[in-house]
Amino acid sequence: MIRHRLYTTAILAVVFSVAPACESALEVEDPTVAAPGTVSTEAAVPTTLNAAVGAFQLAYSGAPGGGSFIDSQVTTSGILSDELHISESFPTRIDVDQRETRFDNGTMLQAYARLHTARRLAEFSADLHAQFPATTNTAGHAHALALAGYTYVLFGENYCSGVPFSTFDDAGAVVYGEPLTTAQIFEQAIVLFDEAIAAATAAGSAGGEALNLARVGKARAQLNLNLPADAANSVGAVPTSFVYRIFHSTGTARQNNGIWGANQNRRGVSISDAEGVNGLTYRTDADPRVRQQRGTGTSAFGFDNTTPLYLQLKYPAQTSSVILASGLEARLIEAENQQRTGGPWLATLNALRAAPPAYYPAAEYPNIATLTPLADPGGAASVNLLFKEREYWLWLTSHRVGDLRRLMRQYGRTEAQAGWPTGSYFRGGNYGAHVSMNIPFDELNNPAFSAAFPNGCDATVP
Amino acid sequence: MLNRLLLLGVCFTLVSVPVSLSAQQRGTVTGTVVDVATQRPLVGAQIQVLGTQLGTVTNQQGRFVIPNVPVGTREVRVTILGYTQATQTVQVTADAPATVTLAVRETAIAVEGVYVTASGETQRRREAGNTVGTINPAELELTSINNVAQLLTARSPGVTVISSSGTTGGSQRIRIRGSNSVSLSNEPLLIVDGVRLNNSAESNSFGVGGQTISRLNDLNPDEIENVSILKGPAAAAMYGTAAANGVIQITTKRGRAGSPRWSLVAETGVLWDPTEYPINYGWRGTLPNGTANNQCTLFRLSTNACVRTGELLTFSPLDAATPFRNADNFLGKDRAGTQNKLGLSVAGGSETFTYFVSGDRETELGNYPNNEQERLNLRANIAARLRENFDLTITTGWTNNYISLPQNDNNLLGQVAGALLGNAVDDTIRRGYAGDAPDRLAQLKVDQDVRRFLGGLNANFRPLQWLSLVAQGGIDGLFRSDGQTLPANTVRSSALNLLGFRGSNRAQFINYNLSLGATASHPLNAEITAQTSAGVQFQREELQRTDAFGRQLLAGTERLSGTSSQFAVDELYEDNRTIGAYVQEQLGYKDRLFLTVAARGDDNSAFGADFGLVVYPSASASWVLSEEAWFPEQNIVNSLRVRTALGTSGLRPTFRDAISFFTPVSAAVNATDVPAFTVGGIGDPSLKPEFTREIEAGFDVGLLRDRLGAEVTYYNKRSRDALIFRPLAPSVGAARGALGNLATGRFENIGKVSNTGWEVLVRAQALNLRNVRWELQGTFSNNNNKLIELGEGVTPIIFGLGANTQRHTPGFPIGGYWDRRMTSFDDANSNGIIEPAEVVLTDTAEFIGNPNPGREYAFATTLTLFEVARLNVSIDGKGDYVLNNSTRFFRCASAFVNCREAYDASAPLEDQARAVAAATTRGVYFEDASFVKLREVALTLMAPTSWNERLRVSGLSITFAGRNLKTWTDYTGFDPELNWAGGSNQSVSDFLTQPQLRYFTTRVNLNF
Repeated sequence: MIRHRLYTTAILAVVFSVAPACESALEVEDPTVAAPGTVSTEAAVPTTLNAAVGAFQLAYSGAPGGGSFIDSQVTTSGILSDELHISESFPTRIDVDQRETRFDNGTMLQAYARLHTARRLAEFSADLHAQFPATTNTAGHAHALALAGYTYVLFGENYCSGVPFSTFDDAGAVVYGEPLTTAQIFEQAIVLFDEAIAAATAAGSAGGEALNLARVGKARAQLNLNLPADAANSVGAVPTSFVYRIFHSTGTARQNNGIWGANQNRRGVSISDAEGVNGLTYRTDADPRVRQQRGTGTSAFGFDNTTPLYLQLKYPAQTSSVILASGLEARLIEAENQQRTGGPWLATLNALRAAPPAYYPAAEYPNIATLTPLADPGGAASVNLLFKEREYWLWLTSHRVGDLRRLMRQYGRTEAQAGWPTGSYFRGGNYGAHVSMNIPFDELNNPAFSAAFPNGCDATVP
Repeated sequence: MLNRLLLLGVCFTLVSVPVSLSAQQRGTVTGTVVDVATQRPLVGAQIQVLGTQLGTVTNQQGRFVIPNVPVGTREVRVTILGYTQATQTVQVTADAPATVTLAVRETAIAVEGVYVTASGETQRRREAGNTVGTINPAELELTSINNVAQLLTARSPGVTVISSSGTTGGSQRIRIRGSNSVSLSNEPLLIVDGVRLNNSAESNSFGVGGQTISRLNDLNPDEIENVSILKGPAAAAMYGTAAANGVIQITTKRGRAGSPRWSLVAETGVLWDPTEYPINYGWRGTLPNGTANNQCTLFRLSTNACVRTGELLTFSPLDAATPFRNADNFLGKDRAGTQNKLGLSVAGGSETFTYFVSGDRETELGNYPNNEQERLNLRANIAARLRENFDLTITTGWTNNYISLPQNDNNLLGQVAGALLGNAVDDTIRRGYAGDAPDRLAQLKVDQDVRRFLGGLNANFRPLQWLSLVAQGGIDGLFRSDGQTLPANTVRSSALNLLGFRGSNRAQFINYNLSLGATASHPLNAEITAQTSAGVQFQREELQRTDAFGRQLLAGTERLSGTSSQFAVDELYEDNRTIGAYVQEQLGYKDRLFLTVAARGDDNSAFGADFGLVVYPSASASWVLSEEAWFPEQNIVNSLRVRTALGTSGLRPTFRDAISFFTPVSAAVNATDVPAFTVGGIGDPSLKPEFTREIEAGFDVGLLRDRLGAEVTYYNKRSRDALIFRPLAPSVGAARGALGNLATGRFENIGKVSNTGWEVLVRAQALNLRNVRWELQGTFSNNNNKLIELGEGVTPIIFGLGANTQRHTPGFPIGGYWDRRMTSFDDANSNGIIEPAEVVLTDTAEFIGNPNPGREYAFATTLTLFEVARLNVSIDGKGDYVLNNSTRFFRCASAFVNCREAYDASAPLEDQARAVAAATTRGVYFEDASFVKLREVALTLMAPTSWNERLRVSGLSITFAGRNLKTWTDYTGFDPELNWAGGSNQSVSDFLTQPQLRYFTTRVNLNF
């Protein structure tokens, strides 16, 4: 009896002593990640801008990674249009090349998702700048707003009408956005660019780069809205020497240039030439703005060992930077407005050809030599000439799909007249009719989107 | 809440027991356990003095001694797996030991026997309302089992081992009663001697195209005494938030009282790839842009995408007389791997101290030059009776496991991939391979070196006759070094690879577990006994990993300092902790009817902040009908037990799933690298464990004097609050994950999954004569897996090879194959060629099949002649499942197109139709993968007793065994047991995967 009580007492004593320790035993410290609160302070504001820039780089010009390459806006729009064609084996990329942007294309889901992440981080940074008086009207604030604006521009140009824009908060609560039409997307971009311009202007000289970045972005959105005069007005003060580059480095794998990764490293995409009959003759023109050459040796063919590989030399290294906006683009926008209004568009173009802007350090990329002046062919060919100048100057910067769609939407061109590849596809079968990227299947998890587009958006609408 | 549950249990235990027990005089019981038919002594039988906590195990002579038994009339019971239970009354006196002989009869079905419970104590199978799968490696040691996965294959119904490849050191998936979970691991909980092990089936950090490494195969099957398998929550509720996928309980060998018994095992063997690989086809032609091309397929011809200019081309890089043919660095059909094993163990001890010590070294060289495994296992187990009422068992195991994996699967750096997707003509650079030639590929080295310590401690203290206290602790310390090295200017698949690289990832995974439990046994009256248990448990799983990488590797070095650019470093950290408490009450009526109820409560560090405690209730009933007085005495049904169990268990969220966080990264801003971050994840603070409820019912029957027996079980398992990595609309902007494998989603408790099925085990002693013994075993199981709900408004989750071949869709099996189906084809224009317009596809994607087997069956037979020769034959098969033959898809419809039907109009029209349809759908290559394999034939020759005596050994045998000898299947790929993604949780496809190898081994066992 005594032993029984003794053991009973001992066991209960152990239990009572152990029980309070239960809660503390489950407390886990995790120093390897940042909780939302730690990046929502005033001290973290500059870091949030870095985050926005880094995310934009990954979404815009990608990275080699993942044993293949990260699909970016530049490569995706290049593959869909006539800039690039597939020289590898991913069926999901071949679909895009063939202008059949399947709703359930898991590879392309990633490009879409990355652009939204870039947008969200830019908005996060902009919101944080706005929270703290010392940072509200600074170049950083304008920079973040402008980057957010560019994500809208890229959505508007590269994706079909109906892209929604959702958000999440620190507690994990998700607020789903309504689908926006293509026009609404560009209008929202303009709102962001206007805010950026205001913040940059208030920042004074420190805001100069962000100011011009926002001006070019605003004009690009206006051009998409068929407001060429407003667009020209927006960029009137942007000097031709202005350039804003997305930088790459070898610091980490995600910072490598993804266009170089897709082409030189992976051998997954090659340079097109009159793709689908109607495409521009990027190779045979041998234009110095479209620097490329046939690969040799083990680079003679693409990853599929069959498709001849042409190497783009605009981004010859992992560290090559990519131009997002420039004074050159500002002049091209002005030229388009001039062409529409009977202005000196050819002179504007020829001025650029006479003195090609030197945006890159010579060590990174050789300057383009003076180009011979153009003559006006007249009629529809004048428009073709203007757009060809745009495409060559802005080659591999994710402008082509937007321009092809504008040619259909604003200039009344057919797919073939605009320059979309049509007819027989080189791997068999025919080209499809898509003129934009589909909004991926996973977006149906947004009830607002699934209600409006239960079967996905219409990628055939320019 | 957890504390209250804990206190309730312990208090209940302590107040419910009688307190009238007092000090008594003590005596000793000794005896022997023998087989009633042969009178052979039985080793390892469990002896129990009923009404007390006293017991022991028979030694190597089948004898036992139990001291300190209260005097008086006592019942002594013997329980041993594969035999009937026996009970005998003895009169214990203080003067002299009471001696008893317990004779038991062998049975075909193992109703009796014991297994280890969650608290570290043993429980008799007859008391459990659930079935317990049992594997006794001793029965298999004369075959060619070389890893634990093989040990588990087709041995127990409901336990499905799904092989991935023939890669030496490669992984496999283990599913018990189907897949419970959509997004969490479906691997069972693995416990060795009370130590909760890291059981990852994807335990390697450098990719080789798909294959992975399983930690299960760090274990040495020759160290294992028995394996008990608790197949689901009905059996494993007491394991709490970890056991929804079932529990594999492994007990390693122990010493037995007696003189040292040495065992030596030596094995050698060869292995090779018996596959006949197809040759590559092509046809010279011209594309519309004038480019010459060797891929002028029938499909391209029919769509005017080329004009033929030559003849049918054929070439086989694997067979061609290139410089690599049959060279050491080349995968050739004639290249054989080797397998060698040498092990030595000793076991023995006294009545108060036993030991088992073993060492085993095994090497296997695969049929690739850069594929090998070298494993060293050391083990020392001791058990001591420190006092008459205090037993202590310490188990220790050490593993060195070096594995080098070849490139294969979804990877042009693989030799099979390079050949199968290669050209139809030879060339001087790549010799027809799609990637680099084999001599270059072989220089890419990916390896892993594991050092692993398993330590377990079990202390059993019986302070009072009715009370048993058990403390159990375990540690699994796993130190893993992953390396990859590529010399510069070798592999030319990409510009970055040309630079060469070195990567080194060092990880330590430490799992701890500790449990304290008390069990009180007490008779309520002469017929009813009660047993109350309560306890607490704590588990911690910790990972710390540091990664380093650099390019431009100095020739001849395998060291990070030899790299000179593009450095990358990273750190990974995970820490997951569980604390739980349980109470259990079991009532027994005349030792033939048992009712058990239990509850366990758990809290876990990964639960959401808004969630508290989870409680898992369970109940079971077991009734040995054949021992009832009213059960008719006859010679047909000798034993019959009916049983049923209802239990619940769970799976915890993984680290950080419940929180929102950002991950640090580097960004280039104004040409300068600066610190930044990206979205790490947006968590759900209300996250709770996935909760699985299972009910099972069945019976065990012994027929014809127990020469024929069967176990039949039906189970119905349903998971609710299933943790689904639900896709969030990408517009949320929360994409996270690896650079090349982005995921936009988060874990939420939104799903429901069901698994139902039958399990049947039949054993027969067809002949049991003096010189001829013939035993047969057959198993069958089926599994109906269905995703019931995926959450309101959640779209089907699309994933798999190619990013869109599999789906989680409500109403269908988890991860089913979906795509458009070819409904018909017709050569309408009778030109002998199937053209695109001549195939008819469904308009939308449809469910085509389940990637996980819905049926499994196995048959094994053993014929023993004159105690000197034994023949084992085992055949197993899987059915009702589909495999994505993506190898054929890629050969027929990808950019590498080189299969015959793509070019040759004389190929069967159905093959042509599939190749044409594949331009639109991969579904045409989702094929029925049902198969039957002649898994193993083993012939063992055992030395007669007279030889043993002359040689002064206790046993000598030699076994000749063959494995993977023949496959019967309609699957058109190389092997239906393949998965490009190794041990991946859900992604399943055959994609350029190395087929299973054929083994021939010779093994010598010597005991002395």
